[in-house]
Amino acid sequence: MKFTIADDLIARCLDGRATHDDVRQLESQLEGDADFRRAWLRIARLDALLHRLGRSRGAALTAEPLGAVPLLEASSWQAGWRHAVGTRALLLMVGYAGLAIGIVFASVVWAVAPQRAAEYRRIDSDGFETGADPQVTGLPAKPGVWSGDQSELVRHDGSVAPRSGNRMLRFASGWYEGKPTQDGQSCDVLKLIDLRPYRHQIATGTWSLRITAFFNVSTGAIEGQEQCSVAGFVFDTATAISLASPVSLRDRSLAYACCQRIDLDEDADTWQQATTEFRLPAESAFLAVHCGVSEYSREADKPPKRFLGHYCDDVSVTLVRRPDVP
Amino acid sequence: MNSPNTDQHDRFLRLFMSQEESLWGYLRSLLFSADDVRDVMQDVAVVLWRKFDPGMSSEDFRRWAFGVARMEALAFRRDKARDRLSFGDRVYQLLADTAADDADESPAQLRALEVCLAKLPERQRQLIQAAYAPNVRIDEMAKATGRTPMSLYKALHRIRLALAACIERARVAEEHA
Repeated sequence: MKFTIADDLIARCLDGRATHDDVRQLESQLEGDADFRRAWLRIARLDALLHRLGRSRGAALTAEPLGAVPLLEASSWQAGWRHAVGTRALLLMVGYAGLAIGIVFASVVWAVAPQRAAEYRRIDSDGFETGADPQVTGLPAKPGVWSGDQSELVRHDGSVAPRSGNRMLRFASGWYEGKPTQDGQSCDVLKLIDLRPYRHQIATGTWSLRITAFFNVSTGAIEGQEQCSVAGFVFDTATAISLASPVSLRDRSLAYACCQRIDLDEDADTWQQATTEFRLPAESAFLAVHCGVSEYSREADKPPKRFLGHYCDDVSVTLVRRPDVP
Repeated sequence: MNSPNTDQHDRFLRLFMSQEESLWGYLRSLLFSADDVRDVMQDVAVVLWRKFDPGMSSEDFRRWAFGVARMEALAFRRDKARDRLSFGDRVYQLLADTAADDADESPAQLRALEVCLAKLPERQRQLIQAAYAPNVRIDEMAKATGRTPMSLYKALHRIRLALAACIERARVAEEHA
């Protein structure tokens, strides 16, 4: 997109970098050009909305109770907006006497609320709503894409419905082309997340990372002792990831953590939650999120397992800063 | 049956919410600090509620709301922002008139923004998300990401322009649907 002088002027004014001359120049154009006025209002409205989304998102996450299942299920700005609308919808239920104060901004409420024990920033949330099946190529090659063993995105499937939205991930088999055969009893998917936008926070060395995912199995699909798990591996460069194999991922990472494997049950109506949390090294730049299901087996060299009805949904990644213990 | 006060409350909320985004945008177009916009918007909402006449038509409410927003912004400039950068009175009025004329676009713009944000490449979405988070300083963000503040400002504005263009396309498409 061409970056014109007028655009540059508008950018300076929106970003708080305007000089007195800039304001006079903008004022002159606003007075003389109705189309320019309209364009200025549109970009100002967009900027105001982005600020509000950022604030509602921040407020919602700051208010997330310690250790609870997050109230805001997505970190997307759409979710931030839905939260803002939800706040106003809530206001519809309050008495009108409190309206004039209550109506205005949730952030006012947050500002006077008791200080929380920890800060939370949701940085990624994936309900598998994109419609693009995960790649079947082992480790993901770029951020934002799921890759790993054979899996697919499905809608309502047998006795299991997505935990949220319209889609969920179905684990298909413990196999991708080139996978070491000894790992065939687990179906693993991974997603890379670029942590660099949060580098200035991570560099303080005071933040932890929490990964949560939900799992479910359709009735009758469990064949043995089957389990689910989530894990996270952080790296300082993307190169470190591309050089790794799934087996060496742990060794090449700056830090990693995985939850204790959780036995899957066959209650298709309930989703089982798996969570892991670990302190981020200050150099962390990329995160590999891992979700998997597996069958425990003592037998060696079994053929890759086919999973009959195993699902994952609502994978979220949250930065957490806990207060120092006094 | 609802009490008169509840009816008044409901009607005010409906009218206020229908104009809220446009009012935010109008104030943002006048004030060069997002924090100032929040302060003035609170005053606007309080005045609108206190002086609300339930008999107003939605068109009357819209014109009145932008008038109140203009007056509150002028009062803010007079009382708290005298030494800050500001437009003259004429621009306040011109922008109020234009904003009130275009206020019907707001709901469509909101819907479109959701879609347009989802269409952004992941890196751009992360960048704008990080830049608009509360209390973020662009110079610190630039330092942390190894960029110059100027390159970050330009990148952010390119994303804003892309979003604005996407929203405009959606608005036109909706008009012709």
